[in-house]
Amino acid sequence: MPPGSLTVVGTGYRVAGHVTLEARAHMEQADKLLYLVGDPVSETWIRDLNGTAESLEDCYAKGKPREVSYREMVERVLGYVRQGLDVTAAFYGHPGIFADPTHTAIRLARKQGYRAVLLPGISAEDCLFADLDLDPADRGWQSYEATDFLNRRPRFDPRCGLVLWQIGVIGEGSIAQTANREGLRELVRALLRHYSRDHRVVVYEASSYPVCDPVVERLPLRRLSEEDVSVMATLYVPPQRRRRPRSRA
Amino acid sequence: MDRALMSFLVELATSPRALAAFMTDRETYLDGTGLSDEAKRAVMSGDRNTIAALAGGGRAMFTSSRPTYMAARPMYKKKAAKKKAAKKKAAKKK
Repeated sequence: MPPGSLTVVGTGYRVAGHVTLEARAHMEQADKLLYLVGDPVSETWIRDLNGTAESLEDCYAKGKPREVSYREMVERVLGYVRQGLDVTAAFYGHPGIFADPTHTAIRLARKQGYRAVLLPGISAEDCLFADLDLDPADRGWQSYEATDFLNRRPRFDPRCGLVLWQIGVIGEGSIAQTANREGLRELVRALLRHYSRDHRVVVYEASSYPVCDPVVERLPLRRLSEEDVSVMATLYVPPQRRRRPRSRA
Repeated sequence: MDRALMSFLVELATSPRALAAFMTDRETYLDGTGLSDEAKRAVMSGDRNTIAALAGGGRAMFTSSRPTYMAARPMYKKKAAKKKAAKKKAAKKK
């Protein structure tokens, strides 16, 4: 096995608090630490952990397709691995969920003979279950990326909970700072085929800082497209109530 | 970057005792932190973007998603356009 390795870790959503002991040790002890996080406090904290820390954020640019940004990230990460360094790449949330470059980097590193591991982290969905006090095992749950949900229209069971990720960036091919209202309207139209207009849904956003509450907006489905939805928001659609069996006369 | 603010937030995120003390009496706790008045106001606001802006970034930019889902013109838009065209055609025929 050639010298050099890749460990991909997640930083969760809450600054410093969501990083596992294992992930933190990899971040501290890496020969090279690369990172992609959404808030400046986490960024400074990461830079303090390891002097080699380097952001991958400059791979993004407004109007630049994400695929191009992701390819650049993968290349930069693997470039350091090929130099024989033990590299840690830290991404916010869970590094294996809705994070294409992490999976690609791991696959390519292994293909090229390097040791490569992806460690689990805390995802937006994990935070959602905790903050909404939900046990998804109760009636089961389904989880989709919102644009994918609209594009593929998968068969799903409205009697189970439904989690739709990234409802603020539906159809967004680059980076976004404001929600796409047209996409939200399309999402509402699609959901109205399965739920009543008054079905209560929850717009959710995990809290990044311990002094901020999570965003938990409960509203009827019909009002969703009028809502000021953040680009970080996730939608939770609770299960439909079970219909009472018709009594036989 | 307001480093005092960063240290304060990291402490609260990693020390349940500190967080409990803050939650019990926010103003008294903040007085003992050495945070600037501006930082104290941001903390008291409980607003993520205000804190992020003061912390040195303010970019609450969402960036992570699978590119395969992210065609510039997603399928759902094409479907909607097709539906609209079919409706128009039907209306013309009438």
